[in-house]
Amino acid sequence: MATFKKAVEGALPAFPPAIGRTARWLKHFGVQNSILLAVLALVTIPALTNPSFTTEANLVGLLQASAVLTTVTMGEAMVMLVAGIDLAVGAAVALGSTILALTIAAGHPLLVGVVASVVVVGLCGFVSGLVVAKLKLPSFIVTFGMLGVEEGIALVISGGNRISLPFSSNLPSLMYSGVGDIPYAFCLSLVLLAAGSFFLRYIRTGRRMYATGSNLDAARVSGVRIDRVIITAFVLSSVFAALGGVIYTSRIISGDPVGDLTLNLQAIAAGVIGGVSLFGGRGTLRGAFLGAIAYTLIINVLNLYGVNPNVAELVSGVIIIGAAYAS
Amino acid sequence: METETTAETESAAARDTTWGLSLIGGAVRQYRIWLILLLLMLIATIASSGNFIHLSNLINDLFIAAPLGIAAIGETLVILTGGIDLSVASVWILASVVAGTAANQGVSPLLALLFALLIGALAGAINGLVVIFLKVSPLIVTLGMLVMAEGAARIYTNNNPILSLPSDFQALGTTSVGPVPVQVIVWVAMVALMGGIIARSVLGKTIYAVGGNPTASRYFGLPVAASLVTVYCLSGVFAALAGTLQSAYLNIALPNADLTTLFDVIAGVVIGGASLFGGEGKLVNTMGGVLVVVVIENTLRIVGVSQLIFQAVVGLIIVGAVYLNVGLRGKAHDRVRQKGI
Amino acid sequence: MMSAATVSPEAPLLEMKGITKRFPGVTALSAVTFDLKAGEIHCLVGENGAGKSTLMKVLSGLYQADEGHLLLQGKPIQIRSPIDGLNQGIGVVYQELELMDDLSIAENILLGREPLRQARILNWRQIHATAMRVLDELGLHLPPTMLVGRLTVAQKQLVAIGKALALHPQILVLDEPSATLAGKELDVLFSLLRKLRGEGVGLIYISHRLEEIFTLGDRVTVLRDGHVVETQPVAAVTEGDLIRKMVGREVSQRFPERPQSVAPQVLLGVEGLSTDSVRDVSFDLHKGEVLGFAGLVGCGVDSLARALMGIERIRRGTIAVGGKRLHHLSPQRAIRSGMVLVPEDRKTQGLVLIHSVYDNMSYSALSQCARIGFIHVGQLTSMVTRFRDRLNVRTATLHQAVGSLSGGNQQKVVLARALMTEPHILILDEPTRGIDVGAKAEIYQLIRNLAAEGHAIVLISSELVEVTALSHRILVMSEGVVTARMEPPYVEAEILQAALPKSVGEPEALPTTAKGRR
Repeated sequence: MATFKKAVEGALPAFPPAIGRTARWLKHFGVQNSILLAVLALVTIPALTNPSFTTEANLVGLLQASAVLTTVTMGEAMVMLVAGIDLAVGAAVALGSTILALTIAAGHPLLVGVVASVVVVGLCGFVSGLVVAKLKLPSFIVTFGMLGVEEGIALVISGGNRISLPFSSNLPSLMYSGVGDIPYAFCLSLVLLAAGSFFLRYIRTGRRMYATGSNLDAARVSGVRIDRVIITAFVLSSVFAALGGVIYTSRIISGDPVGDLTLNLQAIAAGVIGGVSLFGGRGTLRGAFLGAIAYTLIINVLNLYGVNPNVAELVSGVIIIGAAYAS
Repeated sequence: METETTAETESAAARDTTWGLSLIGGAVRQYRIWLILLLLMLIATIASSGNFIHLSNLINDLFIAAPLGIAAIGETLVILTGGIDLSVASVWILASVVAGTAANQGVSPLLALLFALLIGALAGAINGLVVIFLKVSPLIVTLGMLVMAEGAARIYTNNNPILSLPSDFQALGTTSVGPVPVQVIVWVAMVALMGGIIARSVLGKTIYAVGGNPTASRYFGLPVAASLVTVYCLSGVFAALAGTLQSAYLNIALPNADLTTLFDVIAGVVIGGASLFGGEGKLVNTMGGVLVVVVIENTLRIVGVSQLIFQAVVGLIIVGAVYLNVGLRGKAHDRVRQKGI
Repeated sequence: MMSAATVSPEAPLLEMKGITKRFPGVTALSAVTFDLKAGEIHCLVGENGAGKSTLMKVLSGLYQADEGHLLLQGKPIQIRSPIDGLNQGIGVVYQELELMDDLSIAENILLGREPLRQARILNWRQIHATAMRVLDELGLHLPPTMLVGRLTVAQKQLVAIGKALALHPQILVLDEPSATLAGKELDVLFSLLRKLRGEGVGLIYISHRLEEIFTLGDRVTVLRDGHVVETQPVAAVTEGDLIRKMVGREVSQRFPERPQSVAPQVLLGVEGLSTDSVRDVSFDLHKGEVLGFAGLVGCGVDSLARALMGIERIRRGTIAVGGKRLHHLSPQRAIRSGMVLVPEDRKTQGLVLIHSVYDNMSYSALSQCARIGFIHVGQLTSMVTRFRDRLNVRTATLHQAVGSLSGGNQQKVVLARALMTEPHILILDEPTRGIDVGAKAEIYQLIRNLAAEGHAIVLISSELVEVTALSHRILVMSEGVVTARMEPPYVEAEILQAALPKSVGEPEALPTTAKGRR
């Protein structure tokens, strides 16, 4: 965050002790989350000046649209915290979606499908983590390979086709009904945020993820079981991705074995926007969550202004590079 | 750093690396990919009850391999510097739709090809400049370009595939000299040309040095920045060339990036023995690596394995090849160079 | 861990007997015998390379001694790894701080031993309480939740000490703890150490600041070239005694004669040069001259060398080669102007270990042998063979990986690469570090010959013997500034004196990184 942060820090006034701790905390918060705030600032004006933005339909749509990304980004953030990268999340989502759809289409209840998804995809994450931790291969190539493997599995078990699900099943309600206007899917994401944050703060393995990402060798010398921490990170990333797949399925009401492979990039971009560092040791799930919301906002605003959706793709590429630069 | 630490790591290194043994053993290890290829072709012949060895099948394989091999040339150069180029899959298709559109509007095939190469060079140059000057990791930059180039392709074609191309354009991809496709001649010529340049030019030596020890390469006074930008630029150009040739052959240009292409290209480089940390690898071996990938996929196809699983297979092969390469080079050899996970 | 009260006050807490540690080509420790009593502060002094850190790494478990054994409270023990050492009650605070910038003070202190509540949930209250206690003892009034990355280097040093203390060690080793501290912090450190002494902890204190030895220490041991020179109660020695014992030695190394004449022509003029680690350095380097730079770890001279090569940014000041000012210096420009650096750390900065001897030698001379970007292989090969012979690089074939060569030969490869650029000015940063006596002698002769041929040489070395034997003049650096300029005949004790960090109260000292970079 060196260059960008310094610029922000320089621009904001220094607060003498007289003004009080709150003001200084606000400034500190501002600097830490400068990217996020910058993005939000960029978006607020166009958003508020466009009448279609503030309609109920649009806002609900926003929550629906962000549910997958927030979930997946939080998972990716886990791996980023240990200074790794998980390139397989797009395929993990696709695989999760496919398994869920196949299970439901075979007549099993929703819960069974969700469990099956999580278990299979989580297992893939376990393998990734194992290879990274024990064989000490770089995470980007291992998850790159796993991307292919998960994609392949999804394609084979689905025969390469989407699996349509009946509207009458429970699944669509996940996305299309909820607590008041807030879709259940979004609530699920919030629950995951709470659970994940608790894990990272109060459970020893979670807390040690920060240490591992910050200084691997020093952590090992201090007695941290690096292997266990790394494997946990990859498993969690996959589990979150699987749940993201469940949400995704509920949105399109079918199982999609191809999925959106740019999801990787989006998750990393959202994480970086939210203050999760690619170098490890820094960031919060809350930041990842907000980063994903910010990202979805940008796309939403672009759509509202009638911008070609493909341009949005272009923009997302620029965003990630910009966000990575500002780090 | 103290006397003792330097000396100690020295002894550790001497203990568990293979620093290049006898000359002959070294050559065999360096060019092992060709033995592997021979072996695989043998297995393929047996597994397919002889169908593999039919001329028509082999030629078909060559048509598939040539574009992959051409793109792999650029990818090898990037990986030699210790970086990676994930954008090849989408520069590939972006170039093909640009060339295809131009061709359909009456532009001569070679000129259309030139447009494609320029696009590739531009994308690559952007990659290189961002890596050097904004100091963003190549993984992230090229991942971003992967998405951006595809977006650009979709915008350019308004999401419509180009389903027919003029016959003179198609000829770029389909002509053969006797049984040998022109594409393959181009491929081999490019490998020879680039191989020669790499072996004997300041650029080539700089590429290897940057990959081998980026810090030291600065102390050496080598043109590090210029070489890196050149390398990413070349990768874009080769990806563009590959994409154009392939779409000429298939008579179709899609604005959708095919990740299998990316997997095959990277697999070719890695299987050919190049180190992901940079500084080690040979262009000619990447050629062998690409052929190995194509032979494996061909065999699977002949034997009846579903196309859908190819990406999974190649993914596993990539990880396996990296693991084996690390093992062959000696664990300490790479461990010293890898920071973190 | 037994409490100190059960140990007789006379029997040593720790004994290291006959410790010998060898590395290829170098014996770092030779039959070193060292003991530590409970409730004592035992200081360890010596020049760079004397073996202090090595001895402590053997104690902490990072290294295993080749000969000799350790006794803890009279019982023989083995320390196989740093964690093993920690478990046996030996705490070490290294010069390179092993803290995590992204974690809070409390987490850093308690990493690996975080207390839990029921249901395996982290007990943050206890973590913070323990941390607060440690912080109080350290006199640090900081919230335990503060991120370590936001602390000053001095505060980080204290936290690192706190981390070791939190384990309640029987033995505490401190390697240059005061390097980054001043004034009040130093007082806090000293009173803390005295308190620990009172509680029966055995403390080993390594420092270059001799006045601290007299303030704090009970006994002092002087190491030189891997041997123990003597161990005495602090009351029985003076500062002068210590310095003499640190440097005095029989000259077992023969050096070639120093040529008397130095041409008056100035090849390199440096005026008021400042970088991030160095301030206001000025000197002229003449044709045929060997200008020595002496200093301890952290003195800034490596930063100076890198700045001359265009690798580190110059904040202020000018560099002129052959009378011409150089702007926007880069390594390429430096080489083209006839100036080349042989870097301090050959493995990370000077060589590509996985590449061949041939390649490593050629990297800097490529553009010389190239036309329109293509290398004239014949020309290059003959150059490489010529320099291989001239420097006597012992290698079976030019195409073997340079990583397989011995340290001395690797260094020769680096020198060859530098010489192949046909420079007028050579900057040699620790050219004989970590190499055997035979190769050292060859390099000394080479330096002599190069000077005689008219090259101008900057010789940076932490080995006083070397610097004094080879240099026409010596500049001594300490804490980023030049503290003394000396001419022969040199008095090593004076050089060391000038190189030692000054006591607290010197306002001009620049902050230096604690990572052992100069």
